[in-house]
Amino acid sequence: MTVTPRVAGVGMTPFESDADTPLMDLLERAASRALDDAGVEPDALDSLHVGNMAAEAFQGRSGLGNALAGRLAVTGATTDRVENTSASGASAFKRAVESVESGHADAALAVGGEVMSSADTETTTGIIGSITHEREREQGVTLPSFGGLAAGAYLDRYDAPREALSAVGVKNHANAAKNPYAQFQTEISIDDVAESPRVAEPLHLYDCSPMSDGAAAALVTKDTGVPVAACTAAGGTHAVAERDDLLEIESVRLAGDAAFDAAGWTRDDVDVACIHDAFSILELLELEELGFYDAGDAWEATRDGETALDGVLPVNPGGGLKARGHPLGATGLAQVVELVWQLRGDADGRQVERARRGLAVNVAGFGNNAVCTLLGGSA
Amino acid sequence: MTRLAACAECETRSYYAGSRCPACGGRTERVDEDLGRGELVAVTTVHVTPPGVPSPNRLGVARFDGDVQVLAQLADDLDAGDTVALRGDEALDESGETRGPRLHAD
Repeated sequence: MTVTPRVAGVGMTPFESDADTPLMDLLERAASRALDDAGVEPDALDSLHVGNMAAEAFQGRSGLGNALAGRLAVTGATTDRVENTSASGASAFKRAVESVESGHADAALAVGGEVMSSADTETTTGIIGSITHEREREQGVTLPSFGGLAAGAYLDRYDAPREALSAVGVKNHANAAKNPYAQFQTEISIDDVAESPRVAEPLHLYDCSPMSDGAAAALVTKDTGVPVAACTAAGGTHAVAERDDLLEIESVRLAGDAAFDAAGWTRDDVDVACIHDAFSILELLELEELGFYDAGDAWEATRDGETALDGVLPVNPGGGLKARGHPLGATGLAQVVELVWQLRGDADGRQVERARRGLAVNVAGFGNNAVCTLLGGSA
Repeated sequence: MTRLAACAECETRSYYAGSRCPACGGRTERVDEDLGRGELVAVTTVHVTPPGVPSPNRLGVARFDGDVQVLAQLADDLDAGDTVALRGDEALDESGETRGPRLHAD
């Protein structure tokens, strides 16, 4: 990169089960907090990118970029909306990074948000299921269905116990209990996970991220802030069943490899990671695809505390999708917000010691594509 | 018979591909072929289903000759490792409007 984009300011709303607030209000709050954090006025923006998956289905509205620009009185800036299913937030961030990197913008704001509480569980399941391949969808498939298939295969192949999955949610809830922005600020036990309702066997409710309302934002500039060492994306297959191995998520591996190559980092350089744990099994698979663990080893590392706040590789210190919450279009930006707080030493109560470099991976669908971001000082 | 995408260049068969082959990028054509018997490689029972889809919904992924893989509803009490066939034109939702094949014990 000839210009190193930097995250000059971040902000988010608390993630909630039912914020009782329209999406546009949440987007405006997150945007304003990021701008205030950086000490930048809206009229300095050269570009504005809004990440959102399904405002039409959940909120009955479109034109989010223009609506937010109007609320912030931003005129003359490149303005658009980025839709990349559950990775819409990271894709909006990537577009802001590229705007600064290319020289188009001195200041680019990425904002992501979703309000899901307007729909009941069955309807939401249908909305999210609409992103799947049509020949999978006709079979009544859901996103948790893919998680259940992969989780069952993982436990069988590596002769792992059911607790291998539960340990992910237990850890992420423990972290979220220390995060005032998290949807669930309560700890849970291994038994709580196993006793929660079944969703897609062997996955139970506490293996799955919730439906959430919330928004998050990051201001990218070329002057000050946390350096963006890399922000890369890669696609995989659309149909999950078409993959040679259900336990491989090619998009995460490719996006991760590209990010490490671009930054010149090794895996050992990463001090803290935000991993897309929409389902417990995904955190394990992504840690393996990113090269932090060999295939089949991530569950034991998680069980043994290696990914806890005081472990060798703290993962999801803010609670992850599971416990911080997963408002679809906001999640990728919430990961960036958490990393920036960690790298600045601002993560009160859940601060990872000596956090200098961080990784975030935000996944679209069940690995349809992935965006990997590396933040912090170069190795 | 099952509708597949067949690559004119590398002969890969796919249940899901569009106009291009996922293996080599070559052009595909639609063919109807008998998948024969396959092996069930993963199963799940889904308890939270989309509107109109019965709960629970038993699903599996099966691998057939030529590495063609298919995700479909399970018609029988099946588990990973079982031998299956993809067949039928059956109701896949409560209304019966969505129809297609399911995986059967074979």
